[in-house]
Amino acid sequence: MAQNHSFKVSCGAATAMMEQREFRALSAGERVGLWFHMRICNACKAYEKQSQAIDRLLEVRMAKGEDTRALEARILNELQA
Amino acid sequence: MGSLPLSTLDDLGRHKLMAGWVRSHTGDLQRYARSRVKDSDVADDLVQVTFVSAWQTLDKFAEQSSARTWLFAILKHKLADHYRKVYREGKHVSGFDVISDDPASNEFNPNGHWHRDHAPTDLSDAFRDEGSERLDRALRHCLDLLPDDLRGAVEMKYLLEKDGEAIQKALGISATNYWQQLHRAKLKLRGCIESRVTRTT
Repeated sequence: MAQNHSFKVSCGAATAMMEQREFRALSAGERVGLWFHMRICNACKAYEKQSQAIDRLLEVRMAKGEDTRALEARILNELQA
Repeated sequence: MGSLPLSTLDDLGRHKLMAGWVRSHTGDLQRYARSRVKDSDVADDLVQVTFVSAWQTLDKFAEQSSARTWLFAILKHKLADHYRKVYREGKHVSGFDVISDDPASNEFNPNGHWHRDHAPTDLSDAFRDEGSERLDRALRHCLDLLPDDLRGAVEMKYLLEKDGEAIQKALGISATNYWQQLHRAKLKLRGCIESRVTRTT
């Protein structure tokens, strides 16, 4: 693991940067490194798409309907007390 | 001075108002809470304390915001409190622990490149039908398998609307630490969803 050229980015680092860029601006060096890495790495390209799909799913996620009558009764009871 | 009809209500009127809110909003609040914490009893408790807290602070409810918006704001606070507590208590039990292989430990080789068995490929269509019930179920299943701290990291991102500073303050961890957890959570989720969806095809 000797080589650590300034723009050389591993898959671990690339996928970490994808998470971080939602919270902070990547540095110019990071952006170049990531851009270059994405051009040559099919696994990370696939990962990026899948990761974005997961993010979208998380945004819209809603569980399916449940019967809420028991909980309603419990809460009303609690509020009466 | 804005008129506040609330303050003109007697106790009975307030009870009636509150009971109406319980009937109309419990369902949505419960769905919201249950999709965000693993244990449905914990989720129901959070909905209950939301109403109790709403009842106790009814005077602060400004009529211009809808009851629904107000109740959801309280519930989000209760959820954030819940995850804050999970962090403080620090016991992070995970379904991944009982399942034989932990994806996070072997996702990458020591040189930082994908382990060949874990490299994502475009050929996998696990994520293709985004609206599908199967994918949604896989997501929920995999979220429940996350250790509590990683689950909290993910939930907080949406509960506090991606406000990084607020999240880190609430969880009491550094930015770097938080990003690391999100990264680990995403790797685990991705691997878990993929294997689950392709296994049940």
